[in-house]
Amino acid sequence: MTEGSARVYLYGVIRDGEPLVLDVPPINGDRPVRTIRHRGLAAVVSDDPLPRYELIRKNIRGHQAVIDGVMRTNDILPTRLGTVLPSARSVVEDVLEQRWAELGRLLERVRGRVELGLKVSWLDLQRVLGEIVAADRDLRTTRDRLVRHPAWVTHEARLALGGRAAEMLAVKREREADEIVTALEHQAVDVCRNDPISELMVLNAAFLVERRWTEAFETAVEKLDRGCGGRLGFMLAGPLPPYSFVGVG
Amino acid sequence: MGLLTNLLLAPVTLPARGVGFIFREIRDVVDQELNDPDAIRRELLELQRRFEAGLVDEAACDIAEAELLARLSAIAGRQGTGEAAGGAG
Repeated sequence: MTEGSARVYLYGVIRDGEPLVLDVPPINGDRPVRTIRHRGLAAVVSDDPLPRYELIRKNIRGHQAVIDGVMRTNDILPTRLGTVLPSARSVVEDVLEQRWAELGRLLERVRGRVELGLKVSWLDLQRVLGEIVAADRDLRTTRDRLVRHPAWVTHEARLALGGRAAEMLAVKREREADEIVTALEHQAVDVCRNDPISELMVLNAAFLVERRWTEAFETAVEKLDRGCGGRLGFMLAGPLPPYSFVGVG
Repeated sequence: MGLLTNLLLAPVTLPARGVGFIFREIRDVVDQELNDPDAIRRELLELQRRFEAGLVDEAACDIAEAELLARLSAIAGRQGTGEAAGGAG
């Protein structure tokens, strides 16, 4: 087998020497998922990769299925979709050997830990805007004036009102995001905050949590959900591999 | 679209090159958007983000993906490379 010259698809890196069951199909092709081992580390790979992996759900699912399968029993440092190395030798030299110390350190960082993704959004923007207006006298005055005198509603006035509301929305969003993180962070090892995806989104965060604390974390999120008076929607995903807390590939 | 605004505000008497010149400029801007594989891939990324956030349902996502993949294939076809494949694997 010309193993040395064939491209390989890389799913992630695990500790070598731990029991591992590879029973998930590869992202493409029919040659089974396998490992390439080197100095206590093991790369989870498959053969005959495609020239390119577009970011579509089919490929994402195939990639994640392998990583999730491994994660059931082992800690894994996952790669991004489409990480292909030119050869098995390159996996050894350019990934496992070259980054040996860093990979070891990261594997320790995530030992026994998983990622939980939390996206929180306002459910009713109108209601939130109402809260902002109610809390800010200047904004309320301006808004009321424009409502009473439609003739005064110039393009500039409309822009100014919208701009001010957007500013205050941003402040409110940040403050509510901080509150949620503060309520949860003591049950996590680490938090990674990303940009919200939409205007309604308040928080887009990844939490690194001990495996044995995931249930308690979920309960805490449910508690926040129940206690927010229907203002917020909580979307919790996971346990996931620690994509947000490592950087492989 | 600054280009269009400028064109709208331009003096009524057009240069001797005439209307063909304007159409070519507009077409170049549009071509760039439609034929840039990176722009299409950015759209795919945005689509996946929205799907993960629950803003797009599975069926809508599949339809949008198919359309974007088709555009990628069309570009690859026009440019004579096989590189834009990889979705159907």
